[in-house]
Amino acid sequence: MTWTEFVFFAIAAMILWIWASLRSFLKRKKAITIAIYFLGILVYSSFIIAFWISLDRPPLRTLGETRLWYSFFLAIAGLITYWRWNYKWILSYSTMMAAVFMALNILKPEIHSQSLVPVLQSPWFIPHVSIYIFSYAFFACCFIMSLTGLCRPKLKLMESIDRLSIIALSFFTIGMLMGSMWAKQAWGDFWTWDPKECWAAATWFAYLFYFHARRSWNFPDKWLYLVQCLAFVCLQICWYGLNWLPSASQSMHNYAQ
Amino acid sequence: MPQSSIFSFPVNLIAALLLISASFCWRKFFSRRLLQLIAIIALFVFCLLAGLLRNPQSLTRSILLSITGVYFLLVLGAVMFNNIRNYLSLCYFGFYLAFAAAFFSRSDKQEQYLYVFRNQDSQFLAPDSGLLPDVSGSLPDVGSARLLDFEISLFADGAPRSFEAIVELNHKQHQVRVNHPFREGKWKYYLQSYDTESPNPDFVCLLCVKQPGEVLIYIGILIMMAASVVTLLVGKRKEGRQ
Repeated sequence: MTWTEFVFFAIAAMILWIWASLRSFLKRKKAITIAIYFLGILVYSSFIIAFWISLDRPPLRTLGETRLWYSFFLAIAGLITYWRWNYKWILSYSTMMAAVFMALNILKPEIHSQSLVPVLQSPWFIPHVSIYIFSYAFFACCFIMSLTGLCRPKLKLMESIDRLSIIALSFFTIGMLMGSMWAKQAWGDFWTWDPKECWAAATWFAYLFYFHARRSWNFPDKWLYLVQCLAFVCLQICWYGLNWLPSASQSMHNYAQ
Repeated sequence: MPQSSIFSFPVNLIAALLLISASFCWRKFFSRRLLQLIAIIALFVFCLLAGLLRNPQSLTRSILLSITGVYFLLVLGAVMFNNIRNYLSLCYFGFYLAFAAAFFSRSDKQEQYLYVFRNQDSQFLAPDSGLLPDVSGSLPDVGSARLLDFEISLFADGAPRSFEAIVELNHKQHQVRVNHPFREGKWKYYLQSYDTESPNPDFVCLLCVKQPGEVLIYIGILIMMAASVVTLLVGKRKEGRQ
């Protein structure tokens, strides 16, 4: 199995995922929708397994190979969330995100042989990044809903924001903890007060503040929307905004720029 | 990182036990909503400042971190004891265990750089003391160390794609590369850097780390990860404003 065959598996998986996503909107039987989406995951994972066997090593070394896993984990995370929370739109959302990484692999074949820098060659890399990306997507939804709430105060959005924030924060926490275990493997410490880590922690505390303000303090909705927006700004700084801060030069995460 | 301090074992253990007792005895006081909110804001501001500073060590090695950390642990412990029957207590417990173990074992953590040469004796250097060997902290028991082999492959622009060293430590051979440290006794050895000036590197630098609270931190992290999954899957479905 080589990259040449990837396009066939990607298209087959994508058709199944889109079909399941459409079904989720049409109030069809949930179990069948889940089965179709799962079938898509099976098709996709069969390529990964065959590719793994033909390479005679885990496909974790090049940029293209890591993107293979992003799509895989995004689809799984989307399916679990749909199964648990029954959000109709979540399957189309995770499918769209998975499609971006699949398209990159198809349209930019030069990344197939582009090796990762040594520190990124770790089994932690893919789950850490894909779980983070998934949580970012949910935080983005919360941010958009908060902006909508600020502009149209009559809309009742807090319940939905709460649920999305719980999902996002759970994934974000798991991603951060995986990162700390990876840091221990790579740099000898779980936490080094690297600027990226500091901003990730600041983001985490900002969302914790939101939950406390919401549940314990009965803050007005308008303030809660603003807290969500502030937390999202922290997240953006953590993700890419850090590169423009003076502390960026000291960051051990500079390879991520 | 101070190599030994008055907060080393057993002082840190006694301090931790006192802190846990204080959290338990005054759990109602310290789990007040206002104190919880202050604890979160304090750590948020601390992380924000550390993330903005060019040299965060000036902040993260100051007394400010100790005060913020102790206060946060008091509040977190109190909240944990107050919610002992709630499924969220698992999350609090994991976080508490990891945070407290990392916080209190800081003074017992040892870090040294070990330069291993092909044809010379190895040499210890402390991470923060430039070229002076550190004698205040304990050193790994390295009777003999030699660099046996070093393999490197490069990208087209000359940046390293991968590198791996084979070192002999106390007459035992070890393979070491980034993300793949090796352990000997209580010390873990990480490949930190190598002789970049020679095409056939003459030495490698190993970071030697001894972290006594490591296992507790791992357990805390795993509990917290499990709790996050539980929160995601079993979390209360509807929690409107009370």
